[in-house]
Amino acid sequence: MAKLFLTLLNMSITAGWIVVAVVILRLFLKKSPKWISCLLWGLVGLRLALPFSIESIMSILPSAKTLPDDILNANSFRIDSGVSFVDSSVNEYLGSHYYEGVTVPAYHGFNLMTSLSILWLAGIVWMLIYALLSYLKIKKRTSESVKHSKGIYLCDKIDTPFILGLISPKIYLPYDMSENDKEYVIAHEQAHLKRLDHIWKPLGFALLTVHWFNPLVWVGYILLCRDIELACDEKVIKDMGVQYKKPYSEALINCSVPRRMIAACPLAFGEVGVKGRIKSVLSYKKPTFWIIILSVIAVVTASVCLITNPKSNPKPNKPSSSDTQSSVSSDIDSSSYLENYLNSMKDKTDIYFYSAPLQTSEIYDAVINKVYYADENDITNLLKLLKEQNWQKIQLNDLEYAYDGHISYNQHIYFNLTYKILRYNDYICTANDNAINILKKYSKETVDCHYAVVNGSTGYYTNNGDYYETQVSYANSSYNQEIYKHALNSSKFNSNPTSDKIFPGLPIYRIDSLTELKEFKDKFKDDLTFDSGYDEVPSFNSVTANYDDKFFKENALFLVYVEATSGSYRYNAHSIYNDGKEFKIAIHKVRNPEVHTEDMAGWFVTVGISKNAVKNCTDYNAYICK
Amino acid sequence: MAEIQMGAVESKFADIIWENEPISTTELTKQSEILLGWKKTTSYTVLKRLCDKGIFKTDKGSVTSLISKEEFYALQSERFVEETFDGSLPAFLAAFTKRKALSPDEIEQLRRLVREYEEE
Repeated sequence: MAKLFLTLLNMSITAGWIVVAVVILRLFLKKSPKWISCLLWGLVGLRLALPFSIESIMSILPSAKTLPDDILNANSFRIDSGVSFVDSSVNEYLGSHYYEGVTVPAYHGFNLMTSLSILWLAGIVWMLIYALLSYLKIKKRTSESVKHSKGIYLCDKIDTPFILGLISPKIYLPYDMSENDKEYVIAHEQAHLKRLDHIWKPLGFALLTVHWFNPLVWVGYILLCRDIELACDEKVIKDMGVQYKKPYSEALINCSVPRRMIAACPLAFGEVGVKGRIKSVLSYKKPTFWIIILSVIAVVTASVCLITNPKSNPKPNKPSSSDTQSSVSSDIDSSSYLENYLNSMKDKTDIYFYSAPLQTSEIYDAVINKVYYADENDITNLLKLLKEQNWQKIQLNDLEYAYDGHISYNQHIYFNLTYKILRYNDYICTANDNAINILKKYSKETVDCHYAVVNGSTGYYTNNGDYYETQVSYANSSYNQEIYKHALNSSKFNSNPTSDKIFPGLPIYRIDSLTELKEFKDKFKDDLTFDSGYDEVPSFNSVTANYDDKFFKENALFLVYVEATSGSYRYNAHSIYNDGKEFKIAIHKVRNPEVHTEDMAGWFVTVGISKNAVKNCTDYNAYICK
Repeated sequence: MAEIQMGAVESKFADIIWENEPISTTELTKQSEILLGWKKTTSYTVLKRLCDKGIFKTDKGSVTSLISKEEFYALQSERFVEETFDGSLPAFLAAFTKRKALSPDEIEQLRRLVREYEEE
């Protein structure tokens, strides 16, 4: 939806340029037949309706895509209107107010576009309702009419002649029109029908409905209506003969009514700029051969210059879309795709392997500056790739869906760590073992993968770039305080462990195997609770259920016990400090309501981290941080 | 009663009733469709309006007039002369003949009318 609106916005801005051009051109075409002007408006209509075009160097449009696609997902806003003065001043303003990646979260542009597109849809609905209501009102009035001749009806409830109907249009005339006037009015309305104006005008209105937010489009529509009337007047005089100019103008005056708002369906005779029309009729001269030729040339030139897009500059420093597009055929083989993709990045520097967590909300909080998004084409190709491999797609909510272990949201793809991830500057792509071998061919340096395991957990990066994941479970308050005595940092505790002033520490344990986990639970089974949760917090057993032998083969589990004076508080791991020797977990309070219960409570904060990351650590600690 | 008006199109519809009354509503809608090309709903709408104005009435699916055609147009002419010529018939005739001379036939008709009026 946001993407659709962005395309439309660009189309509208482009069409706006053309409206300006046509308005200027019209001034020069005052001597030409009016149907030429109508053709020019046709060009505008084409541009408003078609999102695509062909590129040509003859294009005088400044830019076909004023708002680039990455407004939706970039860390910054910028525009590309093609007018350097506009670009530099706008981008400078945006740049100084929104710092890349800091004050603008990566999905800010997307949310903004989505809200705007909802507003746009509301506008369309409003326009359609207005058009429908006015159509019904007129239809009701004209039901009481009397047939005059074929396709022409007289009605005494209308005060101006008009045409109603798309497929079998009918001309309606006010009852009390003199016979003389009737003749000219009928000629005029029939000219409308011959020119198919009863189709062009509603079509124009339809485009106006979609582009209602663009004032230039309104200008174009009003001028189009005016030009249509003038063209019809010309056609009548041309067919009847110049001797009828005076009686025709008199009929115009007789039928003129006060200006009304733009009505979608009825093509009213006396509706538009009577004075201008009379002037035009009285000054009409049969156009000479040369004027016609020159006008046609002007229109053809205008078409090429305005309908085609300017040639776009290829963006540097990214594999151009044509490369990746051409390498992707309808049958995508994952390794050949990857091979081609990497081929295009051969000259780039290092390729790293990184693991990434599953839960997207935590991703934004913790990893947003570290894990980047893939280029739009890559995402499409990657998703195709996943489909090829028959991965299930599951909808999590409106914006997130998971591919059997992957989550993609708004052009970011995060992968489960059963599939290792490649990260290079702006690109992420998936790699199974087969692809990893290909990668090893191309990469100059690889960093070992870290391994996080459990479904539904949250993950973070340490200062070293180690990946860890953490969970919280209910422990119950400790009765006999045994948990403090056997901790790895027990020597730092004094006899009053809950006093912050002396040692603001929390007991921390390290568990390296399933056996050790069982032993831990046995040891404290009388003191703490492992099998029940508290409100929304799960039990220890449930969060550690997936820690099996496979997990402990590569990872260690750290456990911090947090005791609190109220069951209403919540805690979570804040960060980890790991310099290879010293390993410290900082815990912070994440929920501190004003109204809280008065019961004691205890929590386990468990941290899973790759054994590799802590293999030489000797000093372990945990504490509460602000 | 004095303020009843009817539009040009409405009067065409009224003519159908006047010429065929008493006429059933079904027959009326049929005639309207043939002569005017109107849908049933249109006929019913206009009929109701004319009934509300007090010109016609419907009774058990049959339509009859409360004012005859001559009476109605007589009222209209009276109102017109009243409003435009301050009720003066001579003034109206003068205006009428100014643009169009009366034919000998018409003059004879007028003479007969005045004679009949005087005899009453």
